[in-house]
Amino acid sequence: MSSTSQKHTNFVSEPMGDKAVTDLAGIGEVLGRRLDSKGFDKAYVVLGQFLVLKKNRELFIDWLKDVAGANSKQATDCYQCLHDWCEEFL
Amino acid sequence: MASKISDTELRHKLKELGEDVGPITDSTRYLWQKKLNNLLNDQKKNLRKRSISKSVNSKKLGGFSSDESELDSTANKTVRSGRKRVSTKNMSDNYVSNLKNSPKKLPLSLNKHMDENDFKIPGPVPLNSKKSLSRKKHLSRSCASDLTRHGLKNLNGSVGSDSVLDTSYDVDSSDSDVDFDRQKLTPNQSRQDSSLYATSFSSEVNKHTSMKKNISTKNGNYDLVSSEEVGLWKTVKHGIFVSFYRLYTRNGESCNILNSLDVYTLESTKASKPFLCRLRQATKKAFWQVAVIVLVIVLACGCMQYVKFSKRRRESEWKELISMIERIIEILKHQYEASQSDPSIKGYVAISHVRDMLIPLSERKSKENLWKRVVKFLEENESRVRVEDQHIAGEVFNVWRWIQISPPENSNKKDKVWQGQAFGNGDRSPNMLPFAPTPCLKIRNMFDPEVEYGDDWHVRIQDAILEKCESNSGIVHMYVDKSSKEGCVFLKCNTLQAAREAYSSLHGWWFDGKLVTVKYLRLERYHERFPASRYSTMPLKPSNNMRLSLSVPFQNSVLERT
Repeated sequence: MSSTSQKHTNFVSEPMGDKAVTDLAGIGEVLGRRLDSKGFDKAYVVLGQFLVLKKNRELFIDWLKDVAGANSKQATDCYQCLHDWCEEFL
Repeated sequence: MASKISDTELRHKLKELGEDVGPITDSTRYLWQKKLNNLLNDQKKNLRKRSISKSVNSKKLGGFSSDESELDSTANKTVRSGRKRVSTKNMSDNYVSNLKNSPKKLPLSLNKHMDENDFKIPGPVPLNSKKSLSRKKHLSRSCASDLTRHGLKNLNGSVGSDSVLDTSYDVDSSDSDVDFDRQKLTPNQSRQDSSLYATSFSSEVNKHTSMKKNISTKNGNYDLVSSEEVGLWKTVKHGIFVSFYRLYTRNGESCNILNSLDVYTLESTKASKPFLCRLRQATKKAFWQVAVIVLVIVLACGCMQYVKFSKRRRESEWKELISMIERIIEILKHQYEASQSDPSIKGYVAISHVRDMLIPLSERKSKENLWKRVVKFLEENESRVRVEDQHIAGEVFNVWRWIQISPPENSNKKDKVWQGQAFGNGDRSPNMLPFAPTPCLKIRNMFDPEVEYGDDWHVRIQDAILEKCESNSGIVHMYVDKSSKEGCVFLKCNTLQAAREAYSSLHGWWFDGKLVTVKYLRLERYHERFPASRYSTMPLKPSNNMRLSLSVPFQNSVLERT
């Protein structure tokens, strides 16, 4: 990745604590609402799914596309975000 | 299938496929299933690829495995179980389904069929291998044609699949490839004549290759080939051919029929356009596009020119009409005046005589329309011209008579004049200041902007003021406020004394029926409004020395008159 978004840097820079799901890179208002309606209201819930899928890129992206209707870019951003966060804090 | 297996099974299967399986929970289960399906599909594809490549290399079983992937699993099993000896019916069914699914597969399925019918012909036709070409070629060809015909008949539904063998050896004389059918022999016979067919076949193959090249060069691979090519094609036959071309009948309908009488055009299914061909096509396309654009532009230009031209023509016609009407009115006026001075001359002119006067004989025909329009226009829009019937030299004519309307008493042309003073000698008026506080004046009621006409009426107003103040040479700036309803004129003098004089010579005078009043304006206010006046020092002079506004002797006052 040549450059990361501001949102990405913000998220990766600190422990996620109680952050909302929309704080994840690639998750905007619409995707956030969809995820919320499926029970993924906090970023750490999405992290849980990410970890359950064993940080598998393909599966996680697939899952995000299915559950929130994300496009490839958004899903990849989100994956990258969680991945980097895990590298930093896990 | 995948949805029914349990978690452990799923895990097991994925592990078998070398996947690192995570926890399978409710939320992840379908993802893993999808993954499994994908993996299985990939595997299948790989298998198929491998089998196809195998079929090209090895001769016996290759054809089978490639076909298997196309067929249902049930049919698959049947074929496998009867590998050594499959019933003809079964095979023909396979063949028909193959033909329906993909005509390109034809050679493979043919080979399979031959295999099963103990024709002892191995594998697909290797075009480049000369070894043992002859026998195989002939047989494959004969079988191919038979099978094809049989398959087609099956497709048409006219012949049942039970009669495979009968139909396959039945020589149909209506077929165009009669020569081929005649040459067709039973497998036993073919051994004797194999060399003969080898040569003819290889020559056909050569023809095919050259023709393909030819077609590619001429039309590109996805273009239709014209019938002249088909003539050549007719000599090249069947089997191999179907895999390279899509066939079309004369009407442009697609057909699988190998009956060359019906085939009119060919379409190649493989792309290998030579560079020159591509270049030629691109140039052609570009040329057409440019041509269309140019055409559109030319059309647009033409339309615009036409619109312009017609507009110009209308304008010139209108001008001509107006000028003609003016000349007619002149003639009529002249006639009227002549009749006033000399009672023997009639005050009207016959319409046709006017026409003869105005339009020379040579143009009368071409200007007939114009003349009609002029007559109509005069009738409708000119109230001073009356149309009458009059006897002239014993003949009844439509005539025009000029009706002189006496001009209004105070004609507009009459110049505006200073008519006199309203209040007697202004200097002695008690309202008048004995000195001028500022050099600037505002003069009201000099004109009424709604009744003024012409482009230079403000010059006449200016002249009137300057003429009235002719003895005063101190007026350096004047502005006629043409838009003011009060008829305001602003005036600046170079000295207070000059302003005082101008004030007394203008205030309380009648000008053109209006009482002129004058006020002093503050100098700063004046400069604010007319910045240019700050630098004007030259005394103004009237535009002419005719003293038009003073030409009428002053009356004393309107009050005195009444």
